[in-house]
Amino acid sequence: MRRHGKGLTLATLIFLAAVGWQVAGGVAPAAAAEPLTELRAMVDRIMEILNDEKYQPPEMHAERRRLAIAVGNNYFDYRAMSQSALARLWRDRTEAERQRFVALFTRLVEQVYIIKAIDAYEGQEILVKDQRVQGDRAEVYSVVINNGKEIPIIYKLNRQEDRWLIYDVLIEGVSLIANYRRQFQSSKSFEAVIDWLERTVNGTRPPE
Amino acid sequence: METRGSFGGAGGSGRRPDRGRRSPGRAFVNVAVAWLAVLALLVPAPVAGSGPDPGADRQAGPAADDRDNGMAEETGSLEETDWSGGEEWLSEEHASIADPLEPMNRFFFAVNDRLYFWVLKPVSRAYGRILPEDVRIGVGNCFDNLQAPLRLINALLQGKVKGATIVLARFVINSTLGVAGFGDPAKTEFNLATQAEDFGQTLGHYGVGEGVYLCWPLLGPSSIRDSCGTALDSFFNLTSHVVPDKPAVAVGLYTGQRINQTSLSLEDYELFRKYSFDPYVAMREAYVQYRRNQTLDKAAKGGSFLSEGAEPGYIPSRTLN
Repeated sequence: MRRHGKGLTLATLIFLAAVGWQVAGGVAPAAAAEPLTELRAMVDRIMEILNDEKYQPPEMHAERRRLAIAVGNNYFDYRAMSQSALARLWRDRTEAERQRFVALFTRLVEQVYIIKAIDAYEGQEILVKDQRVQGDRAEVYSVVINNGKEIPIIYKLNRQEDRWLIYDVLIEGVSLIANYRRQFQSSKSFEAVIDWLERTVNGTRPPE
Repeated sequence: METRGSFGGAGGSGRRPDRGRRSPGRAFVNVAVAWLAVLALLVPAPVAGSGPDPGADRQAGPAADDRDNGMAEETGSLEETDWSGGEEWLSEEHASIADPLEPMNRFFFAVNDRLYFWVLKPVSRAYGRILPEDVRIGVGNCFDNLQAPLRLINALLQGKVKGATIVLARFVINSTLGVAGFGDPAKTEFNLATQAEDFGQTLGHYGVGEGVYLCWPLLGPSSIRDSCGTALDSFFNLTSHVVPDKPAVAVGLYTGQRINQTSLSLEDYELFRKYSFDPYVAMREAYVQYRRNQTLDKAAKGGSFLSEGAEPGYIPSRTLN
């Protein structure tokens, strides 16, 4: 770092210019980070873990998965997801029942989306492209490039104090939460849902 | 953290239909007959029969879509009234599709499900062992390239001049530089993405309602509108005309395409099934949402509740790139 005095100066200049622009433009410092920034931070951190040489050997994959999930969990609002997925069935539940559901649904989402994605990672590129913010809600648009095909992924986020948390993911326009909501609706019974969740998340471990 | 196409099929988003396919040989003729039977059923099916559109894919947005003519009925009439526990932002909802034929659809869903495990999966797996993945991706590109006329016509019918231009450019580039469509230099070198346009979308564009949900044997999820669209599509797909007057060849090519595609995403369907509380409902809803999204090009506008007033900074690959 010391060796690159010039680079450092340049960085300082850019920083100052950025600050100057902010002040001049009268842009108030945001109370919360931008949703796009949050999403990028999440993707970058997960990619860092996935690309880390240390975790490339198969015996390290479990650890890699654990770390990546831990990062992801920081950005997902599983309670909101659960409530939205359970819809009507959520309302008459006791807090203990709700917590039980949230715990199980969290593991389901982890297994379906995170573990599957992490374990199938083969250098796919993820571009976090754009955001739209409206009050406390936001959508962040991203694209996964796999075998030359672009898969559009939209994250829906909700602001909670100074954080933006994901409460739904749409892959090619298909909402994860809405899809589960439809399925659970056809059940009418909370117990049946819990029973299925338990069997599913505990049943078979995802392939190593 | 998202990844391969495979993962798109998992969980709630299993839009990949399970279509049973028979292995080549005598059974092949049966498939041909079945396919023709399906066509015969479809073609006379009146478009008007799509009747009341359950439409209303509004994800709770004031953002009325200018183009969703037939689909703009108000949501909320269905059972999702006020379950959200008072948190309005959670209550984004899209209307489901009418499914009066559910018992029949569920039956064919079960048939397709069995066919996947008994026929499509083993055949695709064997095929995948013979050909390396790169080759299979190339084969997929070839089939994709042959859909250019279909896409061109539909892009034009929907007034998408830019989309049509891209389709044409892609076809020329990929047929030449891409060696008969095997490669996709249009995407990799020129950043021209596939334009997924078909007659189902064109019908939707002109306000034809989607009608009721249908789950076809072998072909999987569809709607009345999309079934009509698929029938029209098959006339404009170049694979139908490789050997004129020999529909069996077209069916064979279609079968090959399905096997090729399945071999590239073998785990998808099983994962989708495993992680679905009700796989039938999961597939129906995923199909409907996926198609509505495609038809309205909603993603191009940012989709649901934040659409209005936002600048079109994000344009996904399947619309205009």
